[in-house]
Amino acid sequence: MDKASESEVPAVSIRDLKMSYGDKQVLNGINLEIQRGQIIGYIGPNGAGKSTTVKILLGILEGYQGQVQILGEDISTNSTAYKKKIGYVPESADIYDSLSAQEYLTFIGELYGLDFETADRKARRLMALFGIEDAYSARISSYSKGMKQKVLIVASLIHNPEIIFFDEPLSGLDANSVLVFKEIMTELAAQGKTIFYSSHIMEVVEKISDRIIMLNNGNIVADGTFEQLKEQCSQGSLEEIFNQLSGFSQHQSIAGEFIGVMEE
Amino acid sequence: MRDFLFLKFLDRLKKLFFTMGVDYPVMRRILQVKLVMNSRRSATVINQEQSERKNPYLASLGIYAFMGVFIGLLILLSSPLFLKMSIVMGMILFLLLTTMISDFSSVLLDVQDRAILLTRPVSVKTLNAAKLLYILYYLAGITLALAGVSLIVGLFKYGGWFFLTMFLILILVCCFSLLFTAIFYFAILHLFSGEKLRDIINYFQIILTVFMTVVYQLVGRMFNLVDLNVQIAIHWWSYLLPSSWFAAPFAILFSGEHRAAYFLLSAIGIIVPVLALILYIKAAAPAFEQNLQKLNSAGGGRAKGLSGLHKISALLCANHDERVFFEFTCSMLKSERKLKLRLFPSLTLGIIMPFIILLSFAHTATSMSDFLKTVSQGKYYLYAYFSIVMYSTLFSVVGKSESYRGA
Repeated sequence: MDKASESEVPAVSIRDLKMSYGDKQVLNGINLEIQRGQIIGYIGPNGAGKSTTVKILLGILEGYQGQVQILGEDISTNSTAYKKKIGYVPESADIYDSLSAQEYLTFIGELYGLDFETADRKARRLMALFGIEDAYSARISSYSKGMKQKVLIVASLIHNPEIIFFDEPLSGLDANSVLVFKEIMTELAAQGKTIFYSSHIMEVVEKISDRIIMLNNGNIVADGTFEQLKEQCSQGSLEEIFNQLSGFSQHQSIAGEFIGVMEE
Repeated sequence: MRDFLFLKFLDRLKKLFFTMGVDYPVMRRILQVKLVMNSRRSATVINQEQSERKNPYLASLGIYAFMGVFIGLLILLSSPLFLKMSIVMGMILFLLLTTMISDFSSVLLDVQDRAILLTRPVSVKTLNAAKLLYILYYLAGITLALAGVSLIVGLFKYGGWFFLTMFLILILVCCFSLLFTAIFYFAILHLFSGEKLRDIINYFQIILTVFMTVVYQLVGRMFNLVDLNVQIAIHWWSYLLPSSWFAAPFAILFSGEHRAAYFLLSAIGIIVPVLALILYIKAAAPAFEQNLQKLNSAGGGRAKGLSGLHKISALLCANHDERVFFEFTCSMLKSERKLKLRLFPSLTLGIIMPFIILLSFAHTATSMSDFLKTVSQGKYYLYAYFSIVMYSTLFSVVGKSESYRGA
């Protein structure tokens, strides 16, 4: 494949994706086409099906209906090769915390096909850039939440992936690291990497996303740039758009009631 | 990272793994990490805090080996072989199963592996192979620590064939306990979901611990211990005790007792693990991972009324503060699984044990009234205080909480 046609293959292509747990329908036919070099803000209320979609894309959830292609490759073929081009920061800090960061990161690097020396060198330098090189050979169980998050971020990027899934990646990071991280994301997108950014902090999503996709009850309810969404919904901020699209408007009355109960 | 002997041994079987479609280098790396983590995991046998450098796994193996010495010494007794081996196998099985259930539920019911490893280029087959080998390594370690002395004592007393037979039977015992635990967990996972499931597993852990202790007591009382030369009576329930399945082959091979019952018992001992293996591969394993996902999902908790508790606390406690802490403690006791796992088996055993001990004297009595007379006039009634001895150890546990940060 030459360079031109390769860049035409969408990073992610989802056709009529349906998924149910038992008799509970979580995704009702999702269609998505995502081009490379974009930061996708992936939002929705709890239980909308966001993490289910990401889990299917990562190949850890089976039993879905529909077609999912990543970089032109159907993921249901049981090949694990496509996962080498994916990086993932999970929301629930899944990490082997009885290992040291060095042990964990070199292990993950080697799973991605790097050799030990390369993985070790890259991991150490990335940790150093995040300002936690001192803790490199200490056990992760002794880390603070932010440090753990940094290790998870390093683990997801160590193999220079094409598509990156970030699920609430800023949780626990201090303001300086957040700045660094946002800059990294913009730079990666400029290099043609695709970033799936899932978060509940609307201000961040609003600022960094090239395209925002909103899920509600297993359906896509909004898809476009922030400007497009603003026009559609005639609302000022993404937070307000989010509230409107998820059909939530009682925040004032709930707050009032909350305080009422408090004062009882 | 350390290179384990076990991994070097596996390197020789590299080709076999490749032909099975397992990505060997990846599997080796996963196993290596698992073994390193295992050496840092604290075991339930050792309660005190571990220093960073010590290897709790090796330390627990040491404790098992110490128990193994006593098990091994039983073989030197002059009682009938079937009796001896029943007790030896019963003890080994009991200890294996309890460790499998208490320490090893974390490995069998692990959901982290999926999130960490399957999102990386690791196939399900490779992951499962690594998991299975890890479990085998763990089991083999404990079994050897427990049965090592018995094997050596047997070698000197009965010769090489005994050693070999025992070795083969130990493999069966390992398979049995592994499959038993796996199928047991599978059944629970299949029937229940979410948080409810963790509770159920907890209850089953408690019940099983009690059950195994009682069975363990029964093994010793399976025979009429008064006269060691008496014909060993095989009751119908002997067929339900795994220890007698695994002891019967010894009686056939090494003391020449060709009783039909022994052959039947040996046959059960071989058939049950094989059946369990088939059941596991055909039914349990494929659905197991799927069901494991339930562990992550939160079940809809039901709101429970606390009114009953309020009434009790109002009765018992003098002031408001006392009442608050009483209710708090009750709720904690209700929801803390680790604490329950330590408390409840001892509580139940405290009730059951005096009866078991008394019953062992019951066979000398001719009638119920005669038995009651023996108990009331003799000193046997003192066994009722056995409960207190058992309960006294519990005080050290009550003050501990797994989520102490919540306070």
